[in-house]
Amino acid sequence: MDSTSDLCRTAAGDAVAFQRLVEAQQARVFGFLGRMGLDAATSEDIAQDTFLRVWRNARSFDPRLGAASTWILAIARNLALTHLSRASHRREVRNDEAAAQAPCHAPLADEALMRKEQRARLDAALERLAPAERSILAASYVEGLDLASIARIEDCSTGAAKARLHRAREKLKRVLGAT
Amino acid sequence: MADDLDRLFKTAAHEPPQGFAARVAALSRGVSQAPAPPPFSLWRLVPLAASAGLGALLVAEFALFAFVTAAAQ
Repeated sequence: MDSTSDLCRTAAGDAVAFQRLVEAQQARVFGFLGRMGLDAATSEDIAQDTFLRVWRNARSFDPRLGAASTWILAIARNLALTHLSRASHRREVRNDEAAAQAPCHAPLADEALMRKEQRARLDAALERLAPAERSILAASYVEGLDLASIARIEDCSTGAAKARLHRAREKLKRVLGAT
Repeated sequence: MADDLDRLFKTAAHEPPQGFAARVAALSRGVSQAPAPPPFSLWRLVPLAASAGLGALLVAEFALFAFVTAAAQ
């Protein structure tokens, strides 16, 4: 059973199909939100909001206009952009509770430490990008998403999506190169 | 640098917490579904077509007036 069929069943009020849909799409949504530079707690809140909106508005989904996964990611993107615009006045602090609660003297494993440093480096760079640039970059790393689907999520033409993605990648490279 | 970006983005994804789907499904039971939007109908285009027609008529009238004025001079 694919996600588009499950979403159509969800529109008819099928709660089992809805849970199956969440299970199938949750990794993509969390991956997308994480790559937008959102912390784990915020990503969880936005992902939960996204799926509840999917449930509420399932009858608005038109399978002729695109796949369910694209529609769901577009909802997640809009909620993430709203969050980023509200949070733009304050500095986003990554909420790594596990690390924060660990005793100071507990050494992190090399790999975990490296991942944490890489994540911090990417977060610092992403904060210097516009929310829409963060969104299109994150979408480009969602597995199985082609340029046409990215364009649907970003609500622009395929050509515009390609150009915006190129510009965002170049800007991120420059920012990372400067740090 | 492209490899650097790919590597950085690979580490940036979050994992959904255990039981997330079941929790969301349970929450959805308290949320009612919105009704489907009304189907598209050609009648919805009538006001738009009427406005476009009136606009075109106005432009044509202005062009005719400008032409007659220019010809008279």
